[in-house]
Amino acid sequence: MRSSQTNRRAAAAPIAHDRKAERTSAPDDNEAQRVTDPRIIKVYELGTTDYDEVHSLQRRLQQQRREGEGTDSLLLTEHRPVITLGRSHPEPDLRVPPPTLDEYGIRVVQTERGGDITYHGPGQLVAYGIVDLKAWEIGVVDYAALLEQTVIGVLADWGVKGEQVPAARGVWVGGRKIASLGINVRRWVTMHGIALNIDPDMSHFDLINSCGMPDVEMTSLSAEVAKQVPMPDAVEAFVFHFGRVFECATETVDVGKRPARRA
Amino acid sequence: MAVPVTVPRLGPGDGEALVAEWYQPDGATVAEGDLVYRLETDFAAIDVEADENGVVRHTTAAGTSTPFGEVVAYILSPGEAMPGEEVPPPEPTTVVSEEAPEPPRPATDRAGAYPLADVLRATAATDAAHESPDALPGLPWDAFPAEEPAGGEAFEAPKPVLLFPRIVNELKEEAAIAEEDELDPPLDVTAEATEPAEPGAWELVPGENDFNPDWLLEPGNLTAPETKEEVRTRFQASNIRSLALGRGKGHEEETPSKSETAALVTPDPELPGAVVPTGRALNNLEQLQERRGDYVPGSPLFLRVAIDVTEATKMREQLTREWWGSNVRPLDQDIILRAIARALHESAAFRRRTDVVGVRPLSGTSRTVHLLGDAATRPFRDAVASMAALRETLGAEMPCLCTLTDLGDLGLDDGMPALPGGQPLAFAMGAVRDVARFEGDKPRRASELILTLSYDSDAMPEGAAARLLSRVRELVEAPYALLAD
Repeated sequence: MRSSQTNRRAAAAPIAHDRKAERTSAPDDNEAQRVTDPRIIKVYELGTTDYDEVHSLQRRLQQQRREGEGTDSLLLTEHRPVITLGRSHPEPDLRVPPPTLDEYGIRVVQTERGGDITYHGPGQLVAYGIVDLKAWEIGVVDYAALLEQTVIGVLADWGVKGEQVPAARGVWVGGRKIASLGINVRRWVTMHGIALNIDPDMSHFDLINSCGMPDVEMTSLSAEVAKQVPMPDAVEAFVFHFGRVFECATETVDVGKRPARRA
Repeated sequence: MAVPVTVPRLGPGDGEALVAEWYQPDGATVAEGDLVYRLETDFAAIDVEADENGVVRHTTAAGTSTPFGEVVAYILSPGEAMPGEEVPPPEPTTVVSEEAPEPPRPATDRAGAYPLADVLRATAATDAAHESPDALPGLPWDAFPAEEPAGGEAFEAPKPVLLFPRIVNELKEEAAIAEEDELDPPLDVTAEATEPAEPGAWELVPGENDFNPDWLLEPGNLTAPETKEEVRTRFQASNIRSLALGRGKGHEEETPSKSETAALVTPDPELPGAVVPTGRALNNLEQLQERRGDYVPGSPLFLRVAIDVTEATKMREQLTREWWGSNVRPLDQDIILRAIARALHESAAFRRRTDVVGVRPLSGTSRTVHLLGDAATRPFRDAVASMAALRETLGAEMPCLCTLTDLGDLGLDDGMPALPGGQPLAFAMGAVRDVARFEGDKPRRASELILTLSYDSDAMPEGAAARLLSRVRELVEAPYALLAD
């Protein structure tokens, strides 16, 4: 079953806007333009997934978008434990011998994204954007920065101050890395995206030199606020802030109940 | 005509990117749309495609860091010579910007690097395990755009309907329909209400874990405790899973100092329930006064209770399944609002002063119920959406305001007092969060909402406020009672 549901926050927006209007009554020059050429992104909340499957889904969506079909999409998921390799360093930069990974049940996958080695696992919110940068009039660097600002907005919901660091991409909290970023762009359509640690098994990060940096200390939102952060809350906050930062409408597609895989 | 292949501009200003790999060797024939080379930054890999059919000729070696806009290759028509003869060659800085053309990154420049083949071999068993039948269910591929662009019209989601009181009528209708169609039995309200709770489920035992409002009337209980032990004693005595007290500036009593507040907010694992930071409201008041020196709220006092919303969530899910298919939206707030409305309606002290959240308009002097909260807090946004939807449904019958504030529970929204003097009542809905509840020694996962009642203590007796909160909690924790309207 396919259905879509427009973000109900749209109902709340006029209230906030009215109050702003009372205050400043400054005309919004961009508003008219935005109305005629709205950015809309379809949001798919996939739950826990295997990396490969979402990877091939991303490729399909990117392919469609490149050919002028399809829509801009935002995939939100948690992966089963997996280590992915970026383009910039195709050799796994591990801190443990390879057989150890097998004991943990962690696979290693090569990808086409930029960046270095990273880990994905349950408790980590991974957001993949398939966005036509030409249509949205965003540069590659700006796109990355906006993704980071989305995460900073999510962190702020829980009172955590995230930072962008000029020397290194990703989002940092007090010198510890909380979100990692890596994208691929083909004919100005992006894939891959940003991974925010909500409450993952942090010990898995010790298996690799994250992002190729041996000294980097990883952290998670739960660790920063010292309490459990439910993933659905984080997902919802991410969608909200994505819409806010990118100035786009988010339309959550109900992916329905996930059918069991046929043998 | 030679078509230049350049390094695209990736961002504002000057910058460079690495020409990482040539997909097409020097002299290869390419068609328009073929990938020519890969550009890399520290975070992005960009595949650059050919704009033209022809023969590609490199001017830059792989592994060279190259400024934006620089030409790295030409695509020539068959038989055409490199443009080097006719046009000035590309600036030499392109190639000599690196001292020597670096070979592609050596594989062993890091201590931890393992050859990929070894790793893939070592994790082969894991790969196999992922193929096993107990692997995760597959993606719902149907939900995504098909390979062929589908021409079907978008499915219009049913408009969210607010729960009570029309729900009772709908239940009856549903039951009437289901009598004819036994395949789809409706929600059995009475069964839900009377069924014994599942083991481990939250059960409200009157007198045992009930919030005792009279406790608040004991002298001294509303003053700031001196020590942590005192806090603990109070918690245990009151059966309040969490309670926070705060006094605003303008109250006759002395405002607790920061250190006293800190004693209250320190989480203590021995305290029952979660400890809510009481300092927040006070700190916000301080922030308020920093922002607007002239702002003095009218003696507000804050009460907070932690409410177990597990049942409300269950009920929401059940109702959602029943009426709206799989379009599950977090409507807990609707149930909570209904509970608040009912409790307000039942409370004589508050009924005099308030029109209530959409239950029915009351005659006589009316005040407005505010929902206050932090605009940046996610669940509050939901509450606002619920309120907006409610207001849309009920129109003028809904004397209910949503107030957004960026300062938390009590605050100003860009200079406007959220709790103006004489406004007796305000609810703030805090974050719904997962907590561990202990029944005996067994921990149970529960969702908890911190509900804050802030009101003018000059206009409202503490006991009435406490009873109101107690009733709200009771209704939210056993929401099926709301159905028996």
